[in-house]
Amino acid sequence: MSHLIEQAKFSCALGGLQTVLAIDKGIPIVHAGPGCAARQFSYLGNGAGYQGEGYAGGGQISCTNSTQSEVIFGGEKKLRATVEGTLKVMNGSLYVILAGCSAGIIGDDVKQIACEFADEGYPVVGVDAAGFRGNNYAGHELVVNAIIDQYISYEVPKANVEKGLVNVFSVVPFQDAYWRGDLYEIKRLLEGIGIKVNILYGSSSEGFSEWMNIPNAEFNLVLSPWVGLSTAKKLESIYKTPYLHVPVLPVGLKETSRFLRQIADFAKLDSTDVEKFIAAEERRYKNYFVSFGDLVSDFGCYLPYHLYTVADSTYGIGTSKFVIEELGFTPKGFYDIDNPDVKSKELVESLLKDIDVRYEGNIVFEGDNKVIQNDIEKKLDDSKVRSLVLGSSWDKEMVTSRNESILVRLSLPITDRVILNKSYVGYNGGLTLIEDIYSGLFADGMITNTTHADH
Amino acid sequence: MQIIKAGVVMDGFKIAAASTEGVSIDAHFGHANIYRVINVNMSDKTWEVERIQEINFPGIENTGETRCWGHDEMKVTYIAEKLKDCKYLLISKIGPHPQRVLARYQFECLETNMTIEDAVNKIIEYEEKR
Repeated sequence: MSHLIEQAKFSCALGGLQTVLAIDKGIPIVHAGPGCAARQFSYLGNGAGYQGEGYAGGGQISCTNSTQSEVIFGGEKKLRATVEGTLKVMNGSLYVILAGCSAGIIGDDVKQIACEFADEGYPVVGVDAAGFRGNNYAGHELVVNAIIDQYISYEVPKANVEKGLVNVFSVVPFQDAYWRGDLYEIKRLLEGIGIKVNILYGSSSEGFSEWMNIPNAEFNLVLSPWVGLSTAKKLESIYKTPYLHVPVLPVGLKETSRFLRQIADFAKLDSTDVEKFIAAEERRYKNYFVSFGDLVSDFGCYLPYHLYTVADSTYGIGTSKFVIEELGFTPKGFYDIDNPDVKSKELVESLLKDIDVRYEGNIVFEGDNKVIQNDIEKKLDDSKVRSLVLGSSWDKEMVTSRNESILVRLSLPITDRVILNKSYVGYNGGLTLIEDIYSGLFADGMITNTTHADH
Repeated sequence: MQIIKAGVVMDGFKIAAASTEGVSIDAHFGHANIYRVINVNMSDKTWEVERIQEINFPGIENTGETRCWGHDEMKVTYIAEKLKDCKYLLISKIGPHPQRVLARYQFECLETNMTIEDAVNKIIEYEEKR
């Protein structure tokens, strides 16, 4: 039965256009009604800590602005004209046509149109990203798989395997507001143990040339419970490239070191070099961590210790694992917002229960933030315990008005923070998360020694 | 919408097609002065041209006025009144301003350069699926 979503935690498949924007000089061409592309930017661009239009996003997106005329008479003619115009005025390394709902319903064949331009030598691919195909996690996968299927596999039909080269398929750009910093940190860590990385998105990437190098990787790394898995399987089928599936995003000391050792083992790297890098990173991490210990002992009675997570399975599991295992929080609720399929749901549940058995009965798969808030509100009211909520800007009032709880903005929308290179991934990300959680103690001002002593 | 023809009530609607020579949709809204008003019968999916509606604005009839009237609300309203029995308006091009005025009369303005026959058949197909 259909129902209304009051506060959607994700966008529709057309949100895959933001994935195109995350590729250097990637140009999306939207075949949809007026407003569709703008809404995506509003939610996934501005709503992700004001990330800006970028090279060809926001108000600059080429769009057919389909109307009733296209619905009745077909929109392929207008789309051809729009693609021709885009190729003339926008200098890109890759052009991705994304068809929205109306084009999907009337059956405009965007793949065929993309194929016509590709035959002329233009790097154009077509994706049916109609909203009813799924959310923007699905849209992200549709875009990535289409680029591989329709362009890369033709241009690079045979792999020329490069030892130590790895493609990383992990967080969804923009839907993960911290994607730029996250990918930078993942690349830094992997390079630290001697891996050469195709990180594929953002300024850490070398651009579309990295994509053309995808077939030559020694293996693919899927760093997420389910997003990216279909791409790795596709590459295994086309190029026989093996893949390593690491479902937990590494956050903090324990998980990051474990992650690096797992990669080193799979890639058969020299353990001496790997352990040297890990030891240096751990030493640096522990130095900071120990200095934070004083705050924990001084302000012990002010600390939050219940944890509620409202995030996707990739970021949510990684950060929650860190907060529980390294900061000692008690899990009270995990609200998975990315709508995984049945098998992936089972994996998410099993990963969470492995972290802490107290997740049993406290895992909810829900895309409507209002439904999630209703549940958390009740739990906070019942427990009367100062808690940490890994949520979004929408949760600010709900969190801060209950038990002086602390909100760390983890999932979209994040509209009261500006996000540039921040990340909660890796050793550095763990430290940043500690900063943000415990800075929450002082959100209403300084806790003086006098007040402190009164408690 | 019901059309009464020879005393018989039929399911259908009317389409105004801006066409100078009567074959293709070939006129911009701001210059179109001849519309073929087409009667569509949805019960048997047939259609016929009911009338040819000429647009002659009062006071400037036959003066050879060639300026675009798409931004003149009075003139757009005048056209809308002449064609208000129609549901669809088939036009080669139309700007957002006249579309807004015509929306008050609940016209669906469709831009196309197809032949009248092809366009009307597409609309019938669309109406059938609705």
